[in-house]
Amino acid sequence: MAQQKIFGYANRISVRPGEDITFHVNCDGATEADAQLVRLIHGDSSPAGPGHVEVELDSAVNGRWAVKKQFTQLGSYLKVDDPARKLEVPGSLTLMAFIWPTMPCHGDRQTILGRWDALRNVGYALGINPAGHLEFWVGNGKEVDYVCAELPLLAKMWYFVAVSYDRATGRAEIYQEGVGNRYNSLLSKVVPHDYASHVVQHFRFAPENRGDVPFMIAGAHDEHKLRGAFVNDLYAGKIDRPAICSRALSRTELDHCCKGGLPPASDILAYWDTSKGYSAHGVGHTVTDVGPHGLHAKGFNHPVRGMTGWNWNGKDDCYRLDPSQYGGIEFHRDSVTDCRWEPTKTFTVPADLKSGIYAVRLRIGPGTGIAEEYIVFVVRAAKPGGKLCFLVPTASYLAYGNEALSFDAHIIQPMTGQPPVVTDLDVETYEHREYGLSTYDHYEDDAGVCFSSYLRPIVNMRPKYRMSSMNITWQFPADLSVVAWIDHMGYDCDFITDEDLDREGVELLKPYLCVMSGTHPEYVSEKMLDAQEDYVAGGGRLIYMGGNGYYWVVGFDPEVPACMEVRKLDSGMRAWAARPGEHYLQTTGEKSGLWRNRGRAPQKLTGVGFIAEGFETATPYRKMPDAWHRTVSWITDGVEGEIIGDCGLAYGGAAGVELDRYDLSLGTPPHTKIIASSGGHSDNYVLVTEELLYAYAGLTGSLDYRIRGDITYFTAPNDGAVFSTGSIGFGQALPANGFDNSAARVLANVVDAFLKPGRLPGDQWTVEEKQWR
Amino acid sequence: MTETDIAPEANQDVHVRDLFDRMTRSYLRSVLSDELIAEHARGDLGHVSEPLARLLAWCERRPPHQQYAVKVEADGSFRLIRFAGRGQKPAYVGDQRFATLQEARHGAFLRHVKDLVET
Ligand SMILES: [Fe+2]
Repeated sequence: MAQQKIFGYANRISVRPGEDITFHVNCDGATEADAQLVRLIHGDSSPAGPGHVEVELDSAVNGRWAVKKQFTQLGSYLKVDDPARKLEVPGSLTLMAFIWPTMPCHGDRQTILGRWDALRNVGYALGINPAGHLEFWVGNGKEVDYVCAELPLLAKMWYFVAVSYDRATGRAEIYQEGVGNRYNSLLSKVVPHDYASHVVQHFRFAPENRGDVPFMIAGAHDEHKLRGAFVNDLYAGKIDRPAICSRALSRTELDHCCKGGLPPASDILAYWDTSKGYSAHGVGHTVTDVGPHGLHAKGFNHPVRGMTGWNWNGKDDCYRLDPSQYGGIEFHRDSVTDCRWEPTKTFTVPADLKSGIYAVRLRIGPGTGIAEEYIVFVVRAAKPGGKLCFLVPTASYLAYGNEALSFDAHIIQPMTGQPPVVTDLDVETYEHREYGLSTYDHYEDDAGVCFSSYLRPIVNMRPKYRMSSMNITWQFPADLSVVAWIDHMGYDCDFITDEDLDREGVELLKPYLCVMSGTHPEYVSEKMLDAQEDYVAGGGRLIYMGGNGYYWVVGFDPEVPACMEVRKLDSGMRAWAARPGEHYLQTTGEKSGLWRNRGRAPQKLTGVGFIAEGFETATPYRKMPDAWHRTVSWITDGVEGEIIGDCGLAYGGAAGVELDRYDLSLGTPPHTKIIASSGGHSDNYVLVTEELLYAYAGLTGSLDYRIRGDITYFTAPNDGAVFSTGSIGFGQALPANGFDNSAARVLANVVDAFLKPGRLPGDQWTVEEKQWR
Repeated sequence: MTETDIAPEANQDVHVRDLFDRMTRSYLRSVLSDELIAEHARGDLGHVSEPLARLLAWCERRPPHQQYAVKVEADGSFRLIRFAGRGQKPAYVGDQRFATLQEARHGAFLRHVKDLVET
């Protein structure tokens, strides 16, 4: 019997009572799965806490689901909409494009553009052969004829490539010239390399055309017995302004195109001006054909736009300055932002289902490990009911979705100070890699991943999952420790997601007296940040429950809200660095990177911001003098002595993993109180790179006092306030000792106070005392 | 290809790394002792002695194909594995099963020490 495994995803991450949610399931080794709706309470198996806790619910969705094997198309490409088959060229033709290949010598075929049926060897295409040479090939269903350049292409260099094919004579001429300038490519002109190649071949036969084969850019049509049609021979790298003409253009005419000129208008069948479509708010997935037939192309699996083109001059560093220099579209052979599986089940969320974090639990065979799946979703309140709101940081879940740092990142062991602890699930997902990558990973071609979507299984967005490199819960399962505490305390709480907040803004937060974040809300769109700032300024009370939050500038794709974009650049603790000129989000037009580098350091909203990260150990906090100040002493009521948070599920302390600190120079409100602070961390705790001007020895936990987490509090206009924990580990500390611990006590004091409308405790003291101590 | 054209070369940086590694190993062998190994076996995390910190730093910085990781087995025991490269299934190292994570980590550490001394 085949190995039994089951994976799934839902078409949405947030749903209201009365709305539909559709589940898509892929299963090996079984035809039916046991489905059970569960409310998720806790997801950390650590013996220091309550373990995994879920509540099974009666539901119409429960029962045996028919499941089957489903296939996933990996790789990004463009498909041309050509209903009248204008590109089923009966005669001569010319194909051309500017290209910047990233893996030309990878041992397999890559299609740049063409109308090629790889199963039947029918059609024509210009591409790269397995030896890395530019090649034009044609097929008649029986044989393939080809002409190729003399030299392999060099990676990360811009070329203009073309082929002129004369059907009457069978003459095919490859045209290849380097178009690298001082800025646009990897290597400078000091390198003695001849990029040009011009080769003529006479073909023995002419290509046939099959009517149903699509014209594609960066891929070719193929078919498989079980799977059906799919896209194969995927290309890795950038393509700029590909075109097709209905005549064999001369060498002189191609010289003109090589300099950026258009082919003769009367010969153009299609000319995809990849630099068209930009606005101040980004660019979409349609690539415009400026030729006579309007054969626009559409991107699948998010080809990356906003990328520098062949003519980038190194001066205009944003596509908003001059889109004509941003015709580069980058393709990756292992990107996937939508699995496009057939729906397995649709569920209408009942009107009386309480807001919370839910999952459909699917089990086959043994029902554990990879034979068990949880498809997680958030149910919003039909109408805002509770006074408390938990903002589920789904953008950050996406950022980390299916991360494989343990397997691929050489820095991970020095970073975590421990060997990874991997499970069968980790090995299975890593080995097959059919569910895409996280923004912490690199594509096979070594570029950083800038898109992540939930239209695919995300194996670390489940209960029970432990991040293998750190051997603690992370993001979703870590946030369940906060959820479990809310449940334990009996607070009436509504749940919303980042996606909801990005769409609906501050109006979504206004009904609530208090909003709580997750443990690591690192990825934030402008609308999300604006909404939280406006909420606090308008009298809302925010509890920032984590560390390294409000950090990266992200955008949600307006056409596919399930997909988030980030570009990592300049500074910050980052898994990769966007290339020069490629720092702007294609989804919004904004500069990405750190909010701090755009004038909105997290300190300005929360009082604290990222200062250090470390693993293996955590510490408690000690009260600072402000803890006894009469305006805020209520926060530590019931905590005897100086120590707060001396136990927890993440390395045994509340102050750990990623730490944030108070910093007036970055906009911490001047009247902020430091209630408590950690310190004396191990040397695995290191200063974050955005703090670095000069590096010097000893920027580590035992040598640098700045490395600590701060618990801070400040009041805001209209009875608003912000309480911050300054540590990821704080949330995982809450369930320790049966929820009876000093971290949980402090948080309860704050939530209880925040849930009372009107004046906050300490408010009776004079303005002078409150503001300037 | 022209006479002066570039030929694809292996990354020459590897020789520089080897030189550095020889220097590092020479120091680590000079401080390696039963006490150091016992310190690791105790499993004290965080603030460790400087020789142990340097030895661990060497272990953690070795090339990926010389690293060890811990795999949790279905029965709850732990085994050592080694990553096999991008998209490849990791391979088990030895057949020893460890009852606790700390023992498995120490087992990985002892393998690194063996590599340090023998190669
Ligand atoms: Fe993070």
